Order: sequence, then C-alpha cells, then structure tokens
Amino acid sequence: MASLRQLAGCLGLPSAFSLVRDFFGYASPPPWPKLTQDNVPTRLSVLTQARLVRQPHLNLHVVRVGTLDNGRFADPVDEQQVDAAVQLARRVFAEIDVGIGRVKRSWHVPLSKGTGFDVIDDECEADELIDAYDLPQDGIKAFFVLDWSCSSATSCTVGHTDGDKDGCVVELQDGNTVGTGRALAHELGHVLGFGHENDDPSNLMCQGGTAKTALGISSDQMIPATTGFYDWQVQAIRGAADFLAGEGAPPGMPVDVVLDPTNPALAWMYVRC
Amino acid sequence: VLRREELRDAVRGRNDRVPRGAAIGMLLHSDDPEREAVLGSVANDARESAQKRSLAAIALGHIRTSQAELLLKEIAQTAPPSVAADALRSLGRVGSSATIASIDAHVAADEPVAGAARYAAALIAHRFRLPTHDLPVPAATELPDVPSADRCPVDVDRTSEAEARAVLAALEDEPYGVELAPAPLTRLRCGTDTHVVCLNRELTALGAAATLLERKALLALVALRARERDGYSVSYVVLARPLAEGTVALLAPRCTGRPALAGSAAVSGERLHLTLRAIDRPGARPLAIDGTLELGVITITRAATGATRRPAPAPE
Repeated sequence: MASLRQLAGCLGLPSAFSLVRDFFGYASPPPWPKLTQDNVPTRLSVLTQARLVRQPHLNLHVVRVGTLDNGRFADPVDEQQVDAAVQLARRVFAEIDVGIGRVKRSWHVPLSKGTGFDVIDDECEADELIDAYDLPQDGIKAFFVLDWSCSSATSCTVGHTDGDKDGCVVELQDGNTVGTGRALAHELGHVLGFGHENDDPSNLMCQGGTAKTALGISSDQMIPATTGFYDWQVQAIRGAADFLAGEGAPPGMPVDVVLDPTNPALAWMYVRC
Repeated sequence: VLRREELRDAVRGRNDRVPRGAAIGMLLHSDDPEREAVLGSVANDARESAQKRSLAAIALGHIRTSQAELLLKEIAQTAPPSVAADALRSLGRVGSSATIASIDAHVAADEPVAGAARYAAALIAHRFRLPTHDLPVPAATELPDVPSADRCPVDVDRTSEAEARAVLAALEDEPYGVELAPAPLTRLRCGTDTHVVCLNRELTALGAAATLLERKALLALVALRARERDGYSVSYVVLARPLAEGTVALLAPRCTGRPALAGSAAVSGERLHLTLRAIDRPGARPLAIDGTLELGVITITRAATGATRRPAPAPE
C-alpha cells in the first residue's frame, strides 16, 4: 500500500501536512465534545481514509457562510458540526467504496460582508449563493449556512444543489449533526447526478421529509445516515468512474446517462491514489 | 402535533421538540392570533443570534397584516444591519404604500441596509404603481446576448392545470401583494431548473398594456420549482416602468433583490414585444428571452441560456 506521504502527495497536500487539518480536512479531531447526538463519529481511521482515496473519490471545497472576520463561526458547535457532517458523509459513501478525498475547509464568507447568505430564504437564494463564488474546479463546492428559512407547515428545506451540479448548500441544523451529515451526503448524491428516490425511505436519495413520514419518524428523530443505494446507483458511480479512468471503457461506449463526466466538479473520478 | 403554547415556545427556542425553523413554518400556517407578536419577540430580542432574528423577520414577510408591517418597521429601525436588511426586504413584500417613507429613512445607511431599502421601496412603488423609486436600468452594454457557440436550449411550454394550481398555491405563501392570473402558465425548463411565469392578473385585462406606458407595475412573478420539497418559491420579480415613447423598461431582480435580468418591451395595442437579457455580473449566466405578451398569453419566440457562467470571485 502506498505510504501516507505518497497518498498526501496524490491528494495535492503539502509535504509537511497535518493528519487532521490536511489529510482529513477538519478543524479539530473527534470526539467533538459539543455534539452529543448518537451516531456522531467519535474517531477517525487513517487506514480507512487511505483505502478510500485509492478508490474513486470526490474532493470538497467547504465554504462556511456567516463566520466572524477571523474566519471562524461565532459558536464553536458550528465548526464541529461542519467537520462531523463531512465525516458522516464520508462514512455514508464509504459504504459503496467511494471516498471523500481532499477537503479544503478554510473558505469562508464573513458576516461582515453583508451578503445575507448566512440565512437562506429559499431555493432561489441558495442558487444565488452557489453562483456567487467560484472555487478551483477540482472539487465540489459545499456551502454550510447557519439557518434556512421555512415557510411551509409540513416540510423545510435543509439542502439544495444547483442546476449545474457543481455545488450545494447545506444548513447546519441546530442539534442535528446526523441530519446535517445526511443532508450533505444527499446533496452530494445530486451532484453525482442522482435524482430523488422517494419510494424508498432507506435510500439516501429519498427526500428527508418523505423518508421521515414513510419511516414514521418524528421531526425530532433522525433518519439513518446510510446510502441504501440500489445496485444500479452503485454501478452508475463505479461505471462512470471506470469510464473516466479509462478502465473498461471501449471507444464508442455511451457515457452513463446519470453521471455527467464533463462536470468539472467530478474530476475526482480520474484520480485513484 | 404541538399545542399552541408549545409551538410558541418552540419558535422562541424554549421547546426543542421541533427545530425552530420548522416551528416557524408551522406557526405561519397556524391560526394563532399571536403569531406576529411571537415572531416579533424573536426578531426584536437582542439576546437571540442574528440568524434567528433574521428567520423571524423573514417569516413576518410572509404575513400580510398591518401588525406584521408595524413590527417589521420596528425591526428595521432597531436590529443590527443583517437583520434590518431582512426586515426591509420583508417590508417590500408586505408593506403598504405608506411604508415607503419609513423605508426611505434607511437608504442613506451603510450596506446591506441601504440596498435592501432601495429594493423594498421600489417593490412597493411598482406594486402600487407609484411614480417614485425607480431602480436603475442597465445600459445595453451590460446585457450581452448569448454567444451562439455557448448556447443551451430552454424548453418552453405550458403547465398542466394541476401544476398551475400547485404553483399558485405555493406562491400564496409568498405574498407580493398582487393577484396572479390563473392557468395556463408558461413554463421554462433548462437542465433541471423549472421556472413558471405567473402574471399579475390586473395586467392581463383588456387595456392594461397601455397603462404600462403610464405607470410602473409588478408585471409578473417567476416561480422556481424546489428540488428538495414539493413546492415553488419566487425566483424573479418582473418589474415594468415607462421608458421612452411606446416602450417599457423591464427589470427582473432575483428573490433577494439582486439585479438579474433586464430589457424592454414595446407596447403595440394590447401586445407587448418583450426582450430580456441577463445582466452581466459575476456568476451570471447569459440568458436571452424574446417574445410577446398579449392579454395574459405569453408567446416565447426565443429562449436560450449560456452554458458558461461569468467568472465570480472566490470566497475568503
């Protein structure tokens, strides 16, 4: 197996790197003491992460919206929730041997900029946020916002992916890290090209509200954060990854109709460390 | 199911059985006679975070009552800038013409309050067809066409009756103070985005086109279909104001008030020959829509968008 340093080099990390900050991309390691919910990750496995980046993997540009000028959220809980949500999403996609490789989380939009994006009013504003900022095209833009307005009696939006499928917005849900992680993983599923699978509440691509109703889960309980992907969904990801990696893709083979290999945000598919 | 007091407590953050955002949504749809007061107490509470205060101010913008309007005016006066800006945008949606004077008091403030105030006042002025509070019209050079080599088609059709009902029902939660014309509605689809044009019913009547040459108006709301829930929310607000002889300027800010589309319409009898382009700004994708509007019937003759967005800055 490649050394950790080789893997870090493959991920584009500097030669002197921090395991937590650079290899995983977190501000602090677990256990995250302010996150008391069940099922929040409590440890990291370097071995697992090393295995996953040797698989098809995606990179994230994490943008925290509504920070103080020093680049940190006013409430340390929010910083920990960002890390835990990414780790939950890693755990979800690991089920199908897809990794989340490099996570660059230093991006932020300070409150003092007066953008108003710290509280998302609706899907239109979420689209505005994703389009308002460009990031290097070697990863998916993942914006974490502090709140999301809800004007519906029955369903509130906690995440959104734009039409270009190069970015998503996820609400840091108060006291619900698992829900935040599930929302991130769900939105990344959209970026990968999947639509909703609302007939199956155990599928990651089932909308949260629909899944809760189908599973008889009340609003203060959590939907399990797992992929529950169908075989065809797994094959779609693997097939597109293989295609882009030039493996098993004879000339003239039609590109998978679900995943868009021309999406620059999915350039991870070329890389297997 | 929460009892009234429990729901109020959840909105105030004293009952964690329901997340606060969801509790606010439930309160909005409840028959609680104190719902404005409960939301106002959150928005005016200096101990709350700016985000929770903004949530309450945004929610008040979904309630079209004089009490909500009064509370929003107070919040705009006293809350920190980010909350005040949200309160002003809410006022723009539910405020009466008499509110404009109090909104004007914020135009000299720093951003983001000033921009929100300008947009709110303009929104009210267009809704009430007042001669004041114009928004600047971009120059033609700021409205590039869609490059032919970088063009994506936009599919245009009509909604079904059922979809039209769903759109109009969803927009009832987003008061802009105008009655919307019923089906058929025009639908524009680009990739996975679906936008539905909802015309101001008043402007679909016989003789209405000519009034656009005399007074500004809120011509239409464009609804975006939500991907993560069943529903629609406003994505563009189409504003019209008299320009030169026989011509109307069109401006379509996004839901946030940020400038997005602009163009013009030539009025000929009951027919408007309209043209809209995306304003050239960071992150914007070129867009071209040409067509006509006659007695509530929209006919799109050209609709295209660019595949490439204009570069935008990176966050910090």
